[in-house]
Amino acid sequence: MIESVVQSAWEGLRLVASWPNIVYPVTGTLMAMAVAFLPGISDATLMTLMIPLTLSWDPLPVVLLYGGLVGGATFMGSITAILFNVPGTGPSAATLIDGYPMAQQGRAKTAIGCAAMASAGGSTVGILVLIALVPLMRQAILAFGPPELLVLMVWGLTTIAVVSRGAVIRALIAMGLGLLLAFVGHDPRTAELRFTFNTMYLWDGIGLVPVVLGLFSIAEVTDLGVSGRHTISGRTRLDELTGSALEGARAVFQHFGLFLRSSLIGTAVVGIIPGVGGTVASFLAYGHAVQTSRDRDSFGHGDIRGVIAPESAHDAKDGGALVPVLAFGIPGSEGTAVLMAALMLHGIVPGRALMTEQLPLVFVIIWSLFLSNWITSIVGLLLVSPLSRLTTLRMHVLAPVVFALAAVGAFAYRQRIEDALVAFAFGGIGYLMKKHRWPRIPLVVALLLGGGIELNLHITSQLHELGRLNIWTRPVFMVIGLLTLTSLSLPFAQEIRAHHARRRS
Amino acid sequence: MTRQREDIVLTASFTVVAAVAAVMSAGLSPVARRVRELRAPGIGNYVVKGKPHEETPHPDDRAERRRELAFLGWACVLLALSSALGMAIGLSLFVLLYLRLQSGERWPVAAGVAACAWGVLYGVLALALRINLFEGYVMRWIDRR
Repeated sequence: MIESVVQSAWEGLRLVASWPNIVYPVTGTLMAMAVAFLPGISDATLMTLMIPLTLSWDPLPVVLLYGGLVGGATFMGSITAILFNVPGTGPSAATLIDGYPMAQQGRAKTAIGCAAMASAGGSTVGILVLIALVPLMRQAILAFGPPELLVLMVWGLTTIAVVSRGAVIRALIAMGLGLLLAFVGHDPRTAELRFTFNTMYLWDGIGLVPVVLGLFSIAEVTDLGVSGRHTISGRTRLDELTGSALEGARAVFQHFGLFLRSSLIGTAVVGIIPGVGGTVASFLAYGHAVQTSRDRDSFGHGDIRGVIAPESAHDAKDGGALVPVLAFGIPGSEGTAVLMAALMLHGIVPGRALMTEQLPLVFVIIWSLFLSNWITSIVGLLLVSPLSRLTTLRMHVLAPVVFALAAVGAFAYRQRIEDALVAFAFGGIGYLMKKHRWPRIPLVVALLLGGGIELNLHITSQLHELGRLNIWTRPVFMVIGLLTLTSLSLPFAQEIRAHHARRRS
Repeated sequence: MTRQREDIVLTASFTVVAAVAAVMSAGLSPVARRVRELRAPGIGNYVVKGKPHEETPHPDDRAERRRELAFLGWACVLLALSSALGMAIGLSLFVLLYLRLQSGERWPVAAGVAACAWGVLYGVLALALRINLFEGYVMRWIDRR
């Protein structure tokens, strides 16, 4: 079995690296990178557009192109998070906690360099773990049912306690607000409408993209304008910026242990589980970075470890996320759903046959994803200077452009003008939260995870009522539950220990 | 309230706010003199006698509140323009007006940036990515006529 996996991996690599095959993932990557720079436009949009264009193609170029499209969008979302506090994708929300303060300190080059290196390295670890796990994939995926997904998402939610040190009560209130917002719309169990106030727009719930664009990009530009800051970095010339891309890349090796652990969290803990998503991976890795550090106070103020952890976890997750799609036909996200549809149109049907008879094709996708992650990082490193220059743009030019991009990004998400209104409403809320020092991240994390938590809670409780569930016989549930409890109690235990130490001295 | 009525109320309210903001920024109302103080340092790099203001590191509360109101006003202008004239035209017009009236940029510069914004919105989003940009209630009304 292992021998056939290694052979298929080699065959897949040979197919990707040969001419002219290599052109497809490179083209896909560059296209995805360009599109991902626009907020609110997901990789799924581009992938959907490519379906009619590639209908007459052979399956191999399609697989190569889509591998590039999946990998290209990931890194660029982090670039906008670092430069403008605008998370291009949900997982990038963890990167901005420390990435944006670095840009504000004039260290955008270091942050981008670090994100590029962590991203490329994370994807490499992800691929290696994936190759090692392919023989065990079936058992690993089947070990995760609704109770395990529920407790895993709750674990993701507990990172809020870690991220918001010093403002735990406010963070919990913001989290409550996020959960409330997540429950707007249809009840997943009964399909009853909740909190819709007879407004048709709210039937589908409140979208994540308008909320994130409002809370971060609009609020940030407003805050910068109101505070009288002329540029994001406070500098007007590129040569006034400190740090370098090399310094950022070197930081990944200086914190190699953290990088490796975060990558493993991304691949082995989250990546292979369908429906959990990169956001949980990024926040779990960020929470892990904070909890395992001795000098935690620097987090949230431009600590480079706060960029390494989420970036490596986010990119490491991508490889793993493909396996449930290819092995079982379970797409975990919008992007992987479109990918699956595109593959099926070309006669590549996910399932056991694909994972056994057509294993080289699976590795073609994995290697093109790997190649795509490295291309994005290399292009990102090459573009460090022009990208960093954006932080020296004057606010009076940047403000209307960011406002317009936020409006169009919010609209493009679901093609509804009301989403633009919601984005600006949350822009106001985000500005007030920032002004009065309320953490915004808990709201976003809760909004992201609220729907999944509710759905899995319903299924778990119904299974329990029917007598089909005994949590004591589910080791994965027990282990993640213990980790969640540890993650929740550790900050309090450390506080108590510090308090006792202070009293003794 | 029906969907149509909601749309009308929403657009009407933003149009009113935008109209008030436009009248005030054009100096047509007595309040305009007061609002001109909005052109305080910080919101943008305002041109006063051809020179930009100096940055104020510690703005007082009143100036800060004025800037907040200015941003609120501009957000309403953006929403009004985009819901009335559509995304491509409305947002480009917003960029033009903001750069000219708020930032004090020269007309050619403001028009150039606005043209680029239109190019991105229409060329990239509408044509290349085939995203149906919102066409605007006024445009819809004109189409129906």
